[in-house]
Amino acid sequence: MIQSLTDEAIQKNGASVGVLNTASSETNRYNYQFGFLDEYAKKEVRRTLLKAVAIPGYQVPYASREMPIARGFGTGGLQITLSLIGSNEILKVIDQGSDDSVNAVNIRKFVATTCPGVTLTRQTAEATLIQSRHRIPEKRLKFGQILVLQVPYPDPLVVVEPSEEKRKIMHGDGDYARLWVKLYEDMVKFKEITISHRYPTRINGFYVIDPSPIPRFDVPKLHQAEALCLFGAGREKKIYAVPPYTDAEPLSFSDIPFRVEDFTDEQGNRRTCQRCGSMTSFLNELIDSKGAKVYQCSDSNYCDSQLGDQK
Amino acid sequence: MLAIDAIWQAETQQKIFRALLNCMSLPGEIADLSPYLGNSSALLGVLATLLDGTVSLSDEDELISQQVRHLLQAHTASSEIANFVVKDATKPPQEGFLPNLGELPNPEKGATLILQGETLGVGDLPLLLRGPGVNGTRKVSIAEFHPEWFIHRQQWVENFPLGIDLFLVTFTQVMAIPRAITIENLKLKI
Amino acid sequence: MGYIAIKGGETAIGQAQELLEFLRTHSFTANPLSLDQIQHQLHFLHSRVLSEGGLYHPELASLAIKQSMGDTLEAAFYLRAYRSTRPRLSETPLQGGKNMRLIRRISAAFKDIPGGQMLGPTSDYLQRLFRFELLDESPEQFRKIAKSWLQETPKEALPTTFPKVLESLRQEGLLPSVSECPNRPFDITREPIVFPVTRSAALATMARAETGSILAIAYSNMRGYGDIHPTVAELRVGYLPVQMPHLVTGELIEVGEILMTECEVVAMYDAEPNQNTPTFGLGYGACFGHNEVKAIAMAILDRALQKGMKHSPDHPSEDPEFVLLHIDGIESMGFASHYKLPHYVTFQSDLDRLRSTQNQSR
Repeated sequence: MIQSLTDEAIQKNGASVGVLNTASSETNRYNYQFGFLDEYAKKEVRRTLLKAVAIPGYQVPYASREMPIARGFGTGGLQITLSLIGSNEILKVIDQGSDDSVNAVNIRKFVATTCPGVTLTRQTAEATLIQSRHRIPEKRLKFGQILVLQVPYPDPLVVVEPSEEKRKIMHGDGDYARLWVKLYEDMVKFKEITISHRYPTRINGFYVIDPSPIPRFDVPKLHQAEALCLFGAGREKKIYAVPPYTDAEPLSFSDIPFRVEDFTDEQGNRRTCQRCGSMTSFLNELIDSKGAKVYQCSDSNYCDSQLGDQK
Repeated sequence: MLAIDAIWQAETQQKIFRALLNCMSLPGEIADLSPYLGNSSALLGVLATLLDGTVSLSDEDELISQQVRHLLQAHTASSEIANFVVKDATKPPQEGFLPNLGELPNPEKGATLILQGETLGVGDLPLLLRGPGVNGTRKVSIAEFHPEWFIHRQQWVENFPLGIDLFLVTFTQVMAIPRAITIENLKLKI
Repeated sequence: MGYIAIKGGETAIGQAQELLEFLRTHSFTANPLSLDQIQHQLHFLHSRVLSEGGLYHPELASLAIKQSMGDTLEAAFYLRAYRSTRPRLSETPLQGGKNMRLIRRISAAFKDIPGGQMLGPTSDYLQRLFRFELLDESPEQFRKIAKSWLQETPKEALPTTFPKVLESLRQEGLLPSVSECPNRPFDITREPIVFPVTRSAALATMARAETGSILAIAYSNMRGYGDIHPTVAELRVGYLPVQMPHLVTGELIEVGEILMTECEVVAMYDAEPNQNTPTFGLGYGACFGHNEVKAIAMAILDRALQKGMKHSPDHPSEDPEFVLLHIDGIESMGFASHYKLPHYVTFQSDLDRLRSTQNQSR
């Protein structure tokens, strides 16, 4: 009885039915349903997301399905995106800050194929959902927006402890002593903290997270953000979150403050984007065709909109 | 032709989930699920969205009919170990009721407790919320949720990251109070 | 002036796909590979992909091999990704390898075993000399081989079931008795692996491991980074019936069969604190398809991991985290490939740190 009802509903609206879920419409022998993942897989990711938000900064383990893009290309972020996304979504995908980076293009194309109805955008302000690798957009994210970051290494303790079992105990005890020692040794050896990106950041005064390979420049954007930030590590099978209005503090010593990347030139002036002239954005260093070093915004949509404002 | 109740359909579950995620990230925020529920209650909408055969459910107050239990697929477990525990919160918690609070290395094992009461947004029980997801403080009033639940909750979430995460539901509405939130109510001395 | 990082990503991807498709076809005259040819003429490649893909679907495994142009990692990846889209509808009851319809079974422990040694189709004793006549094999000759083999082989010689070698060892008390599996098997595709893990989770992970990876770690144990010293009690290859409860009556019915390889190794005995008489230790390996080296490597690692789970691991091959988190081909291949993605931002950040540190040291 249930089976036949399901089939009828499927034929009627083409939707696959969550709990009663069996087959999807068989127009060809093997096809893919909305959001690619089967509904049980989405449910598991959704339960994991709720726990991740409820325990800010804690890496919640999940089964992590294989995606049709390779592990390391954003399968964790993609599973989150596909478990969140509805047909009324406005999605932006960036990699290195750019909408047109090959990996961003590829993920966007995949979502467009498997999630009919979803609107794709490049405008940061317009997006309801943003999947990103290595950057948080320059434009401050608003209340109600969701940022999904792709994560290669979810655990900041991996630099001091290779065993996951031991790291979980350290996290549970809030024991980050060895991480502090590592920062201190850096200071002794190099007179600088050598961590360039993936800067360990304490969430709500308890868990320390790896904020994904965003530059230090982006770390302060997590602090008391208005948007919800979700982190997906597909290969390492963890999901964690920084809810809106939550403290996110990069680890630092009272006498050695946390510092973002320095874009000051030899004369002591802030370098500017050669394209839009921004004096505040995160810059990529490029070698132009004449072999000269030039700087340009890493966030392509920000750079474009700055140019648009000037016109 | 018989139609399938909305809450069992993938599209509806996506929408309900988004409402739940929004509530969990903004404790005190009240979501009205009525556009998605059809004839079902918010409790069933939440359960249909989150449960399947890989998780366990405790329903000692028998808020869910046998037929629906079957559709949820979750296996039954006692309230001390179940992943999801549903309770009639118009009544106080039974003597000795203690949900799973998780373990220090695995705090996600702490239960999701779904309390069914009457009213969210107005009422004689004011709660002042503080913590992640709350911009400063947030006041929310509720009614016909027995106050003792919040006194017990206070003890359950005392040792973060151990604890439980709460969904409060009425017939059509839902609100979340995750474990990292502190609740203040002077009358209850919490 | 255009935005430099763009460089027409969308067009580039499209054209790269076209080039790849050209690479696949390449010729004006050749015929496309049929799925049937892949499944049978590339039997071992097909088996390997079935096993590493963790999805028993011979037809799609062939398609995966065709699409990936024979890259085993990629082909297994296609099956895995497809698996993510399929709901779990039912579960089969536990099955023992005893019910296999065997095409091959051998024991290295005993010369005579109940049912006898059965070499079956094996390349073990081949002299690896080129058969140059195959350089230009005619379709007629090719087809004649199977036809005449079937005509000449009596029906009694076709696959059947045999008792397991281990049963006799057990009756003699040389092996611990089989304890009923107390819990449901751990399903690594539905539940996260959190260490410490159960043996069942370890076996499931190894069953779909990448052959080369699992072999390398097992080999480290064989060479001396470990002391399992295995003897192959039995290695069997055959078709295992799959049973499912009937939708209406609930009665178990056979719905098909899957090609599997199973290996049981007996290892040197271990003193157990709560056991009076010492017995041999046992390692178990099993996977989809015909993959003997993988099944043996898995059985050895199963034994090594059991040791590591009980006592603390002395060698990498005894450490569950080390073994189980590094043998999945889809994961290791993916992560190695990801280094090809742009890392402009993190590299910029690295430059900043290095320059700043250099300034400090000047």
